[in-house]
Amino acid sequence: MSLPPTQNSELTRRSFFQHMGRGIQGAALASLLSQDVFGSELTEPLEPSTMPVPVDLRPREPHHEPRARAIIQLFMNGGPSQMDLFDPKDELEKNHGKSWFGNIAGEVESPASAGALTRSWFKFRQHGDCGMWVSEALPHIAGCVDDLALIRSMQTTNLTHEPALFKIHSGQEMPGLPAFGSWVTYGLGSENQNLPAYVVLDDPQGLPVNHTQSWQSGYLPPVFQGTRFRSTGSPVLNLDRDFDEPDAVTSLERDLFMRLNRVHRDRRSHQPELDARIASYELAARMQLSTTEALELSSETQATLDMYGIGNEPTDSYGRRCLYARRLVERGVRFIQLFIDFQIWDNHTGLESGLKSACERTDLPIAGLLMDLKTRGLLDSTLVVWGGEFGRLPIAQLPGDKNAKNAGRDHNKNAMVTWMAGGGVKGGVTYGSTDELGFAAAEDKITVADWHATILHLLGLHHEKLFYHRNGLNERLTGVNDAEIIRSILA
Amino acid sequence: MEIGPHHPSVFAVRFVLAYGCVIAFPANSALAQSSISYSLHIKPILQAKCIGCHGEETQKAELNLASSEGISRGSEGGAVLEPGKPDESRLLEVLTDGEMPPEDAPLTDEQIDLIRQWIEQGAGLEMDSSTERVALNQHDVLPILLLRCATCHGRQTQEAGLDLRTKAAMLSGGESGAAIVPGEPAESLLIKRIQAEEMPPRDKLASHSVKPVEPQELETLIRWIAQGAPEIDVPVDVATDGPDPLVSDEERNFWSFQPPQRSEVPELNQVIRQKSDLRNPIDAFILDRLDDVGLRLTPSTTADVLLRRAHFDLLGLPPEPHEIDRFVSDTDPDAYERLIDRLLASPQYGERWGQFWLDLAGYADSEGVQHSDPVRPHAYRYRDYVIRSFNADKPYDRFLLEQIAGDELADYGHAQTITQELADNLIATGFLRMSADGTFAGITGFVPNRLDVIDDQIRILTSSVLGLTVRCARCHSHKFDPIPQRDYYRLTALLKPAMDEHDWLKPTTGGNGNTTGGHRYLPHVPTTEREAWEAHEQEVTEQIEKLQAQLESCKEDEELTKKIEQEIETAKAKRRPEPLIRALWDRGEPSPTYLLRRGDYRQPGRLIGPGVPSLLSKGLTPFNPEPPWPGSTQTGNRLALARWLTQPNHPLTPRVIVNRIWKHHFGRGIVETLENFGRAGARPTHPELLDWLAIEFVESGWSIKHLHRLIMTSATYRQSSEVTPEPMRLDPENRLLSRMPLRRLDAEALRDSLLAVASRLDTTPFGPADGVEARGDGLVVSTPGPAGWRRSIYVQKRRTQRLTILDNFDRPRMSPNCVDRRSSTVAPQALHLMNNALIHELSLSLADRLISDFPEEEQRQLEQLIKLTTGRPSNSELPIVLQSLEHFRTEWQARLSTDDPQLTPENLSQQAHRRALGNVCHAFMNSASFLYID
Repeated sequence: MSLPPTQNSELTRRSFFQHMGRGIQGAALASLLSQDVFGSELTEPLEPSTMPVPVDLRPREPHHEPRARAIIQLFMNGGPSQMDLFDPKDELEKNHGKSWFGNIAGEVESPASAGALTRSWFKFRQHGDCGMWVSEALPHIAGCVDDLALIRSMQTTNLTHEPALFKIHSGQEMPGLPAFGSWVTYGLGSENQNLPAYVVLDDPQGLPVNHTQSWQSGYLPPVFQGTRFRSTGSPVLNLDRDFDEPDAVTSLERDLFMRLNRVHRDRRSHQPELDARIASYELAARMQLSTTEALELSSETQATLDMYGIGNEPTDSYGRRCLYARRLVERGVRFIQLFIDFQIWDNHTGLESGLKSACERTDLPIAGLLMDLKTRGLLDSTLVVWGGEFGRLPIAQLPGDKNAKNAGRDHNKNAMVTWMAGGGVKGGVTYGSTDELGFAAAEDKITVADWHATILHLLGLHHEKLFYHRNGLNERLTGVNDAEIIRSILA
Repeated sequence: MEIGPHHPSVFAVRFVLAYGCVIAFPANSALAQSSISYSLHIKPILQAKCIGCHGEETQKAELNLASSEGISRGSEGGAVLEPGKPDESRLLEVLTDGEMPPEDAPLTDEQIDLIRQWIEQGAGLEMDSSTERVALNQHDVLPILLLRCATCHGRQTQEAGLDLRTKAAMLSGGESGAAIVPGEPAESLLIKRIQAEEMPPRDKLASHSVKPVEPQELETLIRWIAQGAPEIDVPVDVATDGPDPLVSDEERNFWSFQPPQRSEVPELNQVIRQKSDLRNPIDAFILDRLDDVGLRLTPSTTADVLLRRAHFDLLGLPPEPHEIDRFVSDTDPDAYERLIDRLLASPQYGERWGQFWLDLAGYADSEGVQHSDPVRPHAYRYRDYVIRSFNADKPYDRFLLEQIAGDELADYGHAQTITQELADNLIATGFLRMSADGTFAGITGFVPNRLDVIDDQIRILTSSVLGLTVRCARCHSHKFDPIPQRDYYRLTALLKPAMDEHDWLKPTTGGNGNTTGGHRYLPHVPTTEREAWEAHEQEVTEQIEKLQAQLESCKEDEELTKKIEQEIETAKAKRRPEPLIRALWDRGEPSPTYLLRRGDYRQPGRLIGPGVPSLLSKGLTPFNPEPPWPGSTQTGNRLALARWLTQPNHPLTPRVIVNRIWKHHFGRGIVETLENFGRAGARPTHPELLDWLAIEFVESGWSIKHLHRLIMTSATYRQSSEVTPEPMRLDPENRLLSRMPLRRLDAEALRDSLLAVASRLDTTPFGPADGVEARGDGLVVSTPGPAGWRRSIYVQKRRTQRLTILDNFDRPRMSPNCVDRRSSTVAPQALHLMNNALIHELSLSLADRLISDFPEEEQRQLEQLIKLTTGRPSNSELPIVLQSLEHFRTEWQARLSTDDPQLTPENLSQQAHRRALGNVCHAFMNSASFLYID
């Protein structure tokens, strides 16, 4: 049985001190280390049920040499249409207009509005040295294909948004379980103790499906929960005073309760929790400074802002979040998750204009992010992952007036497209394929668990060694079934 | 290469395999294949290595390798052999990866090779071929019809008069005639309709949560009808008096599967007795273990600390200053005992301890799963029931009986009057209705979704009451504990008359895409409440009728019409929702239960009947369901389960609850894994004490309050939390309880205490939950009433909108319940207490309270503040605080006079003092002495 990621090793302790900031806060935290989870009792194997659980963000030893130090997940809520973006289908062109519903009746969420097979609204062309096929809807990402590993053969298990989102974000279809980012930070901790390890950049225009449940820590300690950074106002909940008071008073008051807390602690020896609590107030104070600094774009050049489409519509909002992501990566944040306005990829009807608009909002900023990371030498150690919760069907979904011109596509759990770029991923690769109509993955099928296992692998974690003991079971992100790492996309 | 001399045949075969095909024999495949024989070569290996666990008597994972029939049937997970495909055969997989045999020496490479070759050659079992192709019977087709058709042609609805749940009903058919013609599949309407893709109707698949019939299912239906639609008597698998092939007596010998043993209270030697403050038997057990390492109990803590500890433990609220004054000056030797009695009698006790039970039940005020997260408007009745039960010290066995089988305790259906007790029986069954549940919508209401809900309820029941992890057995036999997969399905069969995936009751009364089926609400609230509601509704109806009559008579007057229409709307808004109970009740006629191979609903195996886990069957009353009263159509399944669980000598029920109560007092259970008393769980630190407490608990009439009293009056509980070097060295983790642990207030106690000290706590109990709202920035706050905010237990627990303060301070999420709370110390907690507007507002309320209690008396205001927030009557912090107050005041005076130069000096000094005192209050709300209990 493997130990969970709180291994007692001198190396861990050393790397922690290397990463710790200097000064009083470093000393205060360091004083905790002598008695807490880095302590010496851990050398002996324990019963699984009584194994200590890390409840902090100190960096932890990975299971193996990581290829990526940080991950940016570009989550595309709604289910982007694979045959209109990355998976061209000649047979769909040829069979356009033929009835096909009877073959897949059980796989259609809204059978009443199901139409005939429908070709893509968009033209495809090969790009880059690798010749990857990309639709005209994504002209900028098309310029980055030599850095992308495209997966066309992913399948999920539910064709309804909520369970499919839970599946992507927590490995299982039900609510209440730890998010992917929580697992990663539970396994690896963070390299920056002044910022949250797992940052969520959600869209100011609206939360995704399942609200904040998409980044909850479930049964893992709350320190691993995703922290929302907002682009306007105070970036983190309760980060700044939510009431009016002179700064001098605030600082006097802080002096008072820190003094009270120290007096309280000094009267109680051998209570590391009290030291930890004092440290948490010091950390809170540092977070106030570093969070504000991390989201401050004034030091960025105009050329950089232009690269992300900042200052122009419709790219400004998503562009800002992409640039924040780069800045957070630079500051050692482990897991950054970008959300976009409620289900913009859920093109049930009017797919042509809806998909186009979703692409226009995200295509340039994402390409900008990839290029910027590359220029700064960060792409090698940063994994960028793009994808939604499922794919869409090759048949049309008709609007109320049955006008095929305004048709869209219904949900499809049998085929979805996703790509990865950067840290440890081979560029210019197209992995797996779907059947000739694009309804279901055909060759090299992968599951969501495989996808999770591959990303964990790139981050230096093994999906079977990363577990949390609960209720008599070693719970894992990838669940009880086997998962395979997709080796052929690894660099 | 070593070959056993006593296995000449093995040697011969190896020889043949290695060289024979080419050298010794002509390349004749028939000859080569005949060279490995099941009886000659394979059977001896299986006999030697496997049948100890997979034989006739013991059949782990339902696998019998002693006979060719058994091998052919496979295990609970399905076939173990894939003839011709060794790499896909489970049998070979477990042998090669070393999983089997689990304890004995592994098979030799030669033996494994032999089995591989045998499978490659077709894995012949030398059986009579007639046994291989068996005739179909009704249990091959019923699972298909239930899955694909029963929503419209089943228990709840018979579209076109057709019911497809039995052969007789298929023959009598519906409006279009018989559904099947035995022997004539092509003539059978059932087949024709499915083949024509008319059934199940395509446009209703999503709204009715049904999927089309799959080709191989259709083939099975056709074959069954072609065979004449045979129906046979298939025995249902239920427990018998004989030995159980799946669970052995040896396995039942594990400590927690045996009834608690009455243990003698340890005789302590004279030295210890004299030096220790022994107060009750608990102390003797604790001291006995401490003495082993040379430790004693830490001396008793001070009266003020003890008072605060007891208050938070029992009520989750701090003591009031006058209570502190009274208690610390009370010289009566029984003062502490009287305090415990007084706290146990407080109505706030149930609001504290009820919450711990609600954690176990997975209580929530919304359904979850879907984005819409519909609210459960009637769930609060269960919450109130739990609070009232704790306050009344309802015997725990009765408490369980009501929650598991309240509907089978009395005939509510024929009662003239519904009393509170009768209603409570039904409200209590809400215990098994609490998990997240998306089946209100068609698209998340398919049979597998329903099975997940049932699975969650089984998890809730077993983890909370039994302290066992039974859930693994949904897909395979438990890896650590002797819980075969069969026992999981016995539990689902037991629950089926009330929770039937083929006769599903929806969790909401309204529809959300799914318009079919009944719901899980009963109208049996107490008659007085129902009559009051009816009278109110009648009054509103009359009022509306009157207004409508007026409307008729004044059609010309536009202005008056408008006014009356408005009044009608106002009157309509007065309507109240019908009072209902979210309940679980036995409906009789459950659909059959099949063991689902690998937990897959599309792979039904053999027929299973209701039962309880076999590992706990020794020495207990057998599980014997009977209809609860004469003439009842209910099965009595859950009543039998509840009675079985609450037997006085049950190995787990009393131990598990006693351990939980202990944990809430001492921060850690005697068994550290509260939910897992099995092999993978922790062993008890004080096994004799656990058993002694369990027996004492049962003998006291399952009284939880008795247990509190016993624990809290012990010297162990009264210890100081001070840590000295010796106990730190000898008992570093405090497993031996050489001191009291220091504990942080949990989320609810923190929020409730903040409100209480600020005099903003509205103590109104019970009733519908207080609303929550999410601010634009994500902060979720609760809505106050005129008297302030109510205790956290009364705030709506919406799965998608969790109160931020509770979330930050570790209030658990329900997935599906919470079996053990954890406490963390992280920066967002500090940020919340420092910067949140509500905390700030409360600090000013507290300042106002102090000023109004002691106008003009600065020092007394501060003393009162310290007493309120830390429970200490006098303290050394006062000089620091006085000095700070002065500094704050100076700053505020400067600020306030700049803001408003018109302020009179008197107003200025008053306001500056209020704000300055507010800062001191705020500092104490951020202080460890407020947040921690010594």
